[in-house]
This record gives sequence, structure tokens and C-alpha cells, in this order.
Amino acid sequence: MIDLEQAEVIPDMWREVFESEDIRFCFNCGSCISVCPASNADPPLLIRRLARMVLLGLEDELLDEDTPWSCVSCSKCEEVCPMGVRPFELGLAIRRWQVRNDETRIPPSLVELYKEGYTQPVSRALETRAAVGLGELPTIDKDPELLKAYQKMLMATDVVSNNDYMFKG
Amino acid sequence: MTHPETSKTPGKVLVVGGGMGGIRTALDLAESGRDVVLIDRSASIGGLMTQLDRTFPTNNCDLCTLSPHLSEAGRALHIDLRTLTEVTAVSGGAGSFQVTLTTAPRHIDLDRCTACGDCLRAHPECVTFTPGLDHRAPTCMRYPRSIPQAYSIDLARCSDLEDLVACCPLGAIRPQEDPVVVQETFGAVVLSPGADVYDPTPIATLGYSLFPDVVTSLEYERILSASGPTGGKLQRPSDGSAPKKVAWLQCVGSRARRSEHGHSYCSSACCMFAIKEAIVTKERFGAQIETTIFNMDIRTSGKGYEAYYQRAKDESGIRFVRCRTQNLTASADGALALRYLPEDQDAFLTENFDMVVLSTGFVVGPRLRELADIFGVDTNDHGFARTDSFHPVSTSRDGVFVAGLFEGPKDIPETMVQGSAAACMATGLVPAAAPRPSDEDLPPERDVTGEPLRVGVFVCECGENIGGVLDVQSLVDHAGRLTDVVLSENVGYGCSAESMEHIRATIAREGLNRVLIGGCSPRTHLARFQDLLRRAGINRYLVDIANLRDQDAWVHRTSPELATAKGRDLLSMGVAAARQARPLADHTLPMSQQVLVVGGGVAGMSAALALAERGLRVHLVEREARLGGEALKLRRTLEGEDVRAGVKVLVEATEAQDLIQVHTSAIIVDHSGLPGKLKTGMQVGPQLFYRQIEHGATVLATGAMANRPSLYLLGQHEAVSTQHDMESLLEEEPTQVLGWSKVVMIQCVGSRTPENPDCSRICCQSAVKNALRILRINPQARIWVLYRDLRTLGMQENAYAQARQQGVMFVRYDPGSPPQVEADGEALRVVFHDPILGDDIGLRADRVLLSTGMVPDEEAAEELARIFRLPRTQEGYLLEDHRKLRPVDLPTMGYYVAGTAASPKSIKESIAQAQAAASRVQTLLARGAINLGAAVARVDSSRCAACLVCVRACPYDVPFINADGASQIDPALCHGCGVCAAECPAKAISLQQFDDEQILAKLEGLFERRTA
Repeated sequence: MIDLEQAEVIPDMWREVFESEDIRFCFNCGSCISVCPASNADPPLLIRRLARMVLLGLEDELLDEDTPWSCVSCSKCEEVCPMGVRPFELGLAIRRWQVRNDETRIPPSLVELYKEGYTQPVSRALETRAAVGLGELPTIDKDPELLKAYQKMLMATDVVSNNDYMFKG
Repeated sequence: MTHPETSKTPGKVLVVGGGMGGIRTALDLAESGRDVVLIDRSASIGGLMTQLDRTFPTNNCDLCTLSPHLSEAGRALHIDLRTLTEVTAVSGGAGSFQVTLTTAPRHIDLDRCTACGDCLRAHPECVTFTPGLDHRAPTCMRYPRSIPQAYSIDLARCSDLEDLVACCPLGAIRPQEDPVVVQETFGAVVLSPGADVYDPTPIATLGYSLFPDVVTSLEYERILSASGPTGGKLQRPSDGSAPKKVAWLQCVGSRARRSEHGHSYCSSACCMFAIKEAIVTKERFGAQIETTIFNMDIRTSGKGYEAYYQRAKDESGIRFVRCRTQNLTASADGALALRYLPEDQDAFLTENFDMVVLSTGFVVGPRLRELADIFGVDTNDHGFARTDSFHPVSTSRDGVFVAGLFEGPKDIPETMVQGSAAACMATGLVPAAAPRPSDEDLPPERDVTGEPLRVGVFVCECGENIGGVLDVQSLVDHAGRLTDVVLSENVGYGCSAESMEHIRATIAREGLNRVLIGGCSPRTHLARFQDLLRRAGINRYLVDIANLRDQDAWVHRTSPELATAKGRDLLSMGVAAARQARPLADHTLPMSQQVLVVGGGVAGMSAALALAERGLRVHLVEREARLGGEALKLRRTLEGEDVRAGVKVLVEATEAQDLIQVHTSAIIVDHSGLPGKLKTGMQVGPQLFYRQIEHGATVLATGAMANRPSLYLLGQHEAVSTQHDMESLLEEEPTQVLGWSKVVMIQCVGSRTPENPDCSRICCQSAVKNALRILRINPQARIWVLYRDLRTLGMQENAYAQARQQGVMFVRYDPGSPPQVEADGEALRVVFHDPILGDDIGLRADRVLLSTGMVPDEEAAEELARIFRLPRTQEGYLLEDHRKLRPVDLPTMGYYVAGTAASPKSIKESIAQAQAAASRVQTLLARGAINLGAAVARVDSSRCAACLVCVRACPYDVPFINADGASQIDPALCHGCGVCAAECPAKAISLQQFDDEQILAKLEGLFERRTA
């Protein structure tokens, strides 16, 4: 249970996260999540749930959420949202807000990128690919030499090198 | 008489639009003696409803319920019906509008066309009868019982004009016709043009233009309809196969903020019609068909609608999924795949459907916007005509009234109410016309008793309809040989003006005293031939019809010989029945011109004022010491109108009106008499003085009560109150509101429960209204609305969006795990589950507001229903005669209902119904005397054993055992249903016009030849 009297609650958090009141029009219709490819991820990206957290002002819970980073920027949600909430923009805004509010935050997709060479969880897709006769996914980890060079390149960035404990091992 | 000063000469009323609302308006006006011009831009009247297959909540076929209304409209003397006609210019003002009407050519002479269908068979390209799937296609006779019963021609599509003209046996086709433009003067105008249906093409994700098996709800109606393109078979448009799984997507084009997705308001009727379509699909085409309705909220807030929804779920097995999915793709096997996440679950599902129905709502298109411009009436942002709560059918232009969809999205009962209300308003500007002279032209009625039987048989050929299948000459010869038949002939098209005159002259010349028509259905044509007999100088009940067309030629087209044999049998039976026909008198009663209105609330006062302003004397009876009713406790409407000021205006007008006698502190104690001549007794004042009044009609406006169930600490904790309590607190104690940091509202408290199954209709808008009012006083307050389905109908949806915009949180709760409310000192601890978050939320609320809705005033309602002998619904509200088409009339003639006595409703809806009740009263009292018809039950007291079977069987509680120990049936109360006659074990009861001898004679007529 989330006790609004105990939890860190910022009533006007939506203003901090998102630049417009479009988010307040959300009525949880489910259009966005019905078309979202990242709703297939594990855990699924449920943008309307994130909108609800923003509106309730649940700071801690929203900071802990990794799902905004699963968005593949297809913008379908933006197209189907009847309320003009602009869910895609909201997802990006949440990412920015998370990083602004937690300097130590390493997006899980960055770790994926370092370790696997791609950001999205693909385990489900692998089965589907096999089922329809497609070949193996041509990812960078198939070539250890290339992956090593790629990781070296990433390690040269501040965000990775300052937090290298998260990427090694 | 205190008619408002208008022109001294009786004027006319223009009714624009011949859908259900316009027909109701025209009929009400005509019945109260006003001349009406009813125009419609299509070739026949009936509007949108004629395209529907069945209507909720009765699941009846529309054509059966609509046709009698349409034929009434076609028959009424005061109604000048003009199809293919539009308004092109308007000038002048209330009492005298100059209106230019432009009529497009039909290319068919209505006086000659008998709808035989020869032209359709010869040239289907330009004359179509059955509407296609595309309801926009130029269709001519839109449905089989259309009014006028005639085709129309689309010349542009005609390939061989000469041949088309030649193919009509009656020479009714007129290729040279031009548009006709006339200017006429009208005292008042009623706009009932309906609305357009949203076109879902722009919402590309729903694949309407991509996939043939994605159809709109109206197209699905056409597929279900027996008069539709598939002849009533459920077939997928793509391959004609029968679908096994059908999905409905709700709110397509409705409840959207972005214009790409349609309009912002709720279309109000789509939830119910989707449920109806799903039920009908299962009932007619197999319970194994899976039906799923994808929705955000199910908005079944009309009378009895909630029970319909629950039955759909629990008994019909219709699945409801909360998700406005827009993920629609074609799957490999030709099915349509929908991907969705139900609100209360955490795993996505992808499911194949054979058909997807888009529940598209109502919009005001360019044509209607232009109409509003022509009349210069104000419209809202969405193009609907603007009205207000206290003037529900009055537009911004004096003398121009509005009814139906053009006033805002609504369903049929509300449209019917507004249709009558608009008629009532129009009668204030147009006095009744002088009685038609036609009654006086009739020849005296010849007494045929004692005359030897002289039966005349007239057989219609009806073009190919009968003549193309049956051997008409052999039928004529056969009938000529039957007992007592002195004349038998072929009359071609029996109902054409020419033949009617021929039959009339023949009856008079030959001294016929019984007539049999071998033609079509008595349902559509009996009244016409009855009138003909009366014009020929004999009693109207001496005619019978053998239905050679609908029940023989049409159904046995492929076996003409057998059909002709059956035709002979039908004629034998018809002659046998006609020989038994006896002259019958219609029962009439003089009427009192006073009206009793029970209940002095907003509805009662509105009805009384409407009646008094139209010259009728009214007794207004209120049990409390002052007028005003429940509305006295209300302060603001959702739209922000000042309720107290509005009620004050009503009370002052009522008290100032000379023709209204107000009886306050009065309790009705007895009631007797016949409709038109009633007596009601009451006890008045502290001394309970007894008074009796005589009246011709009764309006029940007895209201309902604010519900106060003992739930969620209501009455036990100071911080728990009802939305109703907020009305005055928000106006008078704003400082209290400033101290609230968190407020929780709980919806459906004591409504939609087993004890009170219906939705209270007004609570969702009250919650939204009060949330906005609280925020206006205290913008820092955080408000949660815990709801089951949010039901902000029509434009109320905009206020729901506004509340969200201002930060009100709306969280759905499941009735199985309702919110928990506990005392926490002066505040309250509230815990509820948030399905979107997938977690429980706990908070400390300074105030909990319960939306408790309304309940019938059990004590008063039960007593009054008993005194007036009126039936009530299971919940205890008064039960109207027909939920769909007669929402103001109670089952007993002369009793009408207005306001919340019928079901919970808003002030605006109550006033509309009050004005509608006033209109219905006028139509009744305008008759001066009641014609009770001839089909009434009669008791032969010598055979009656007083067994009480009739007393128990009568659905209207009419028979009683009189002082002589025999059953007595009052002809004025009898509905002529025949149940008692069928049940009476001693055969002591007979139903006039349908008595046993006549029916047995028919059977003898059928079998005598066979046994001989």
C-alpha cells in the first residue's frame, strides 16, 4: 500500500516533470499501452501508470521506475492518445527528471547497452524470430572483439567510467 | 382564455425534420388542433430510427413500434407532410415567421403511386427499395413501411428514361418535375433535424477504410435488420461468412480532446446500443457467438438500463473489457486481431475477432450548422442548439424550439420527451385551428340491422404484387359464388384514390351492407377502408380485409397455384367473417377541461404553468406547506446556473397565475371516475379539511427523495456527508472548505446495488460539479473521486475533462472491494485500490462526500400509486406506457408523469418532461370527448359465474364483481386486449369486433368446402 501521509508526495510534481498540463487530461483509457511495443518488455512499460504516478506526486516510486527507459521512441502512443496527453514526450520527460533528481542514476538500458550491445530486452523476440524462420539477431555481442572495442569506447564517457562498478563483472 | 397575444388568425407550426422527435411533435400539435407542416429532406419520414434493427431495452423490432406512429402521422388531418423539402430562408419573428421552403422533385406523383414496385423491378439502378450498407446511398423507399408509401426516382442514375416512364402502370412517373419554392408564414418553428453520425475514417488506427469487416454500429444495425442488405442474416462484409467473434469498440469519435479523434463530448446512446447489438447477435444468431465490448465506462444511466447491462453481463454472457484499444491489425487467417490490457489485469492479450464494430456517436455536420445559421439560433462549440436548464427546448431565438439530437446527444425516450415539450411550447404561439369540416360532410349512417346480407368483395391486383402471383380473376369468380356475396370484382389498386371512389360509389349504388377487401395488411390499411365505409354511409366496422398480399403473394411467390388456392381460402374466411360483422359504436365520454397536477416541485410547477398559460384550469396539489420541492435544496447546476433564482421565478409565476389553484399541505385520499371525468379527494391544511375536485387529466409529478443510506459512516461521523449536503455548504460556509486539504468522493453509494439497482443518473455530474466548486474556493484542495463507471453524458463530459485538468483524481473501484473509510479523529482514514497503479492507496481525508443519488419516496409513491391504480417499477418509480416511445404517458389513458417520479433526472430533464406532459394533456383534452374505440370486452352477466378469472387475468385491473354478483367491465377503462375473453371459462365475455362467432365463422369458412 502507498500511504500518501507517509510517502514522499509532491502535489505539484507534474509541473516539475512535464512542461504542460496535457498530462492532467489522462483518463486511463489504455490507448497508449495497447499500441506500445515496449509494453511487451519485462517488466512492461505502462505509460498510463507512469502518468498516474506523476499526477499523484509519488517521488520515490517514480525515481525507482526503470520502465521509461524501455521506450523505443516509435511515437505510436502520441498518435493514438485521444486526450493529447503526449505520452511519448512524457516518457522522455520522466527520464530527464529522473536523471536531474538522481545524479547517481544509471539507466538500466545503458547497462544493457554495455553488456549486450543493445538496449531492449530481446529474449521474447528471439523465439518469435525462430518461429517465423528468421536468422539469429545480428547483435554486436556475436563478435567478442567488436564488443570489447565498443565497451572501451563507452568506458571513455563520464557516466560509465564514474560508475564502472555497475558495468564490470 | 389567456393565450399570449399573437395573431388572431390561427397560424401553423413548421416542424423541421421527420425523425422520431419531429413526428412526436407533429402528432402532439395535430392532436391538440394545430395545423402543422412537417418537412424532411429525405424521401420518407422516420429518420435514424428506421434504420435500426431493434431498440433497447425491450429488444423489439423498431419497424413494429414505429409504423403505427408513422401511419398516424400520414393520416392526421392537421399534418401537411412534405418530404424532400428543406428550409432555405427565414425572416420575421415569433408569431409570424416567413419561411422559404424548397422541395426537390420526387419524379413520382404521390397521389398515383401505390408502391407496387414495378419501377423498382424494371429499373433498380435508379429506384432502390432496400437500403444498402452505406446509409448515405441515395435510397428511395427507405424501409418497407415508409411514409409516404411511395418510391422516388434518382434521375441522374436512370439509363432509359422513356422505358422508366412506361413501366409504371399508373403513369405516376414525372421526369419533368422541377424544384418547388414556396414562402409560407408560421407562428412557431420546431427544429428536430436529428444529427449526423460520426465518420471514423480519419482514425486510421481503427482500419475503417482498410478492412471491410470493420463496420460502424449503424452499418451493423443494417446487417442485422430484416430490411437490410443481407436480409437480416449476420454476414461478414468481406466474405459473407457468419462471424463467430464480434468486438465492439466504444467511444469512437467521442470523448476525445484531440480533433483527430473526434469530439470531446459523450454521445450518450452508444453504450446502450452496443449492448443491444451484442444481445441481439447472441439471441438471433446463436449464443455461441462471442461478443466483447471494449469500453472505458459503461454509461447505462437511463431508466431500467442498469438492469439491462447487468443482464447482458450475467445472463447473455457478453464480455466487457475496460480498454480503449486502438491496436487493430489483420491476422493471417483474415481475422482482425486486437491487442489490449484490461484495466484490472497485468498481462496483455491478443485476440482474433471476425468482425469489429465501431460505436460511432453523433455529430452536427455542415448541413445542420447551416440550418442553425438560417434560423439564427445560437449553438455551442459543437454545433448543438443552445438551451438552458429552465428552458430545455427553447433556442436563443424567440418562437424557435428544438427537440432531439440537435439539442444534444441523447437516446429515443429523451427525444420523445423533447418532441412533446417542443409541441407544448409551440402551442403557446399558435392557437388551435377551427375544427375540420370533414366530419360534417359525412352522409348519415344507414341502419343495416334487419337487412338481408349483401356482401361485396373487392380484390386488389396491386400490380405484380398480387396479380403477378395469384390468379386474381379466379379469386374474383370464387368469391362471387360464396354465400350472400352479391358482387365480386377486381379493383386493380384498391387503395388508389380512383379505386377508393369506385368502391364507395359501388357500396352506395348496390346497397351493400358487408364488405370484404382482398388486399394487403389490415395493420396498414384497415383504417383507410373503415373510413371509406363510413363515407359510403354504413358503419365502419362492417369491413374486413383478406390479406392476399403480405400473407400470400409475397410469401409464396414461387408456387403460384398453391398460393391461389390459399387465396381462395382467405377469401372464404373473410366473407364468413364479414357476414358476422355487426355495426359497432365507438364509446365516447365528455371530458372535464380541468387538470390535476400532483406535486409542487419544479416538474409540477412547470407542468401547471405550461397548462395554465395555454388556457387550462389547473389544481396543483403539494403535500408540503410550500412549493419548490427538492430543488429548494439545490444551488447550482453543472453549467453554473442559479437554481434558487430559477425556482423562485417558477414559484412566483405559479402563485400569480389565475388559472392555477395551489393546494399546499394537501394529501390526496381518494380518486374515482373515468379518464376525462375524474374525481379526486384530498385533505387540506392542519385541520385536514376534505375537498374534492373534478378533472379530465392527471399529471403525476411527485418527485423522488435524496437517498441517505447508512454507509461509510454517514450519520456517524461529522466529516462524512452527501453531495446533496454540499449544495448549501459550498455557498454559505466557504471558510470551512478552505480548511480541507484532502477530499474523497465516493460514487454509487446506495445506487447500482441489489436493493436499488438503477443508476441515479445525476451523481457523477454532481460530483464533478462539487469538485470544481470546491477547487474554486480552495484551489489547494486535493480531490479524489472513487467511481465505478464515470457517467457524464453529453456535454457533461467536458466538465469531467475540466475537473481532471484542475487536478481532480478519478480512481475506479470494484464493487467487490469498495473503499474503506474509518474515523481518524476529526478526519477520516480512507483506503482504496488504484487499478492503474496496481496498488492500494491510503490517505487522511478532511471530508468524505458520498454520491447517494435518489430513491423513490416509498411511502408517498406507494400510497399514490394505489389511489390512482398506477403500476410502478421494481424500484418503485412510476411505470410509463412504453419506455421507448411513450415515456410521458402512463398506462392508463389520461395519466402522465413528469420529473423524478418516473426516474432520477436533472432539472432540465424534469422541466422538459413537465412541458411534454402538458402537451400530452392538451392532446387529450382537445378531443372534448373520449373515443374509446369499439374493441372492448362485454360481459353476458347471465352466463357469469363470478369465478374471478377475468379479475385476475386482466393486466389493467378493470373487471370487478358488481352488486349483482357478475363481472363488470367498464368500456372506458378496457384496453381491448382480449385476455379476459380468452380466459373466461363460461364464455361469458366477448371482445367486440373480435368475438368468437366471427372467428369461428372464419374457421367454418375455411373448412366447410373441405368437409362438404
